[in-house]
Amino acid sequence: MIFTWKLQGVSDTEISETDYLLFSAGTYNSNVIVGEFNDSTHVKTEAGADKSSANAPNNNKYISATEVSLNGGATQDLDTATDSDAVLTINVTDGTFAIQDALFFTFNGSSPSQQALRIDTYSAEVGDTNWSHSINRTHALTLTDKTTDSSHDYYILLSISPTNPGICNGTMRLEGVMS
Amino acid sequence: MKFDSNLPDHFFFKDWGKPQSVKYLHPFISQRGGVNSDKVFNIIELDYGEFKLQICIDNNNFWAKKC
Repeated sequence: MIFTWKLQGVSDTEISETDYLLFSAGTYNSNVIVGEFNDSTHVKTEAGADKSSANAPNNNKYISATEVSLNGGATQDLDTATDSDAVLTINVTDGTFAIQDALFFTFNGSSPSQQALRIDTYSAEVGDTNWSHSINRTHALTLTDKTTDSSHDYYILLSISPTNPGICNGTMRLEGVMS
Repeated sequence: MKFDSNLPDHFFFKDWGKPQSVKYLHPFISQRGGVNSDKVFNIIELDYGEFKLQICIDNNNFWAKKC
């Protein structure tokens, strides 16, 4: 199977296996204050470069359990966001196949039951009315099943908030069953 | 999925006759921000109508689950 993760924007930026999705305050690498949410989203390479600098990447900011701010805009209902508004898209290809029981969540990188270091994560699939507090596998975002096709796209809104001062990091996981 | 004969939904394999359908399920994991270290096994799902039997084989280990 081939998985292609992208940060959407005016132009999309691929998130390779060695890249990081970086959540910042207003500008690249600026710290998000504890208890507040991201005002910008970027792709950072392993070497520390801003890979998405020329692509005007999207940002999804958690406002409330049912509301979002898109790219610094006014608060709106989460379920009014469209595919192109989502910060993250994951494409899956492998012949002709269906997908069931797909989940998206963040965790500490070693145990799917453990929350990422100092990060609160909220995610939603486009069309959802409520954010999922997807901090581990138990609280994962449930994605819609995909019927048989040769290519499948997931559009995911994603917003984070630091829980404590210090370096925050974690791992994003998509899992499911292909048939 | 781990086989445990003491659990109510786990059974030793026996002949339930021909299943209505057989599906090959391929669990997958894709990650960013860290390399996956969890093992993933393919599953054969036998549909007997009233229940399904999922079978998973990893070398000498065999798991079966009724669901």
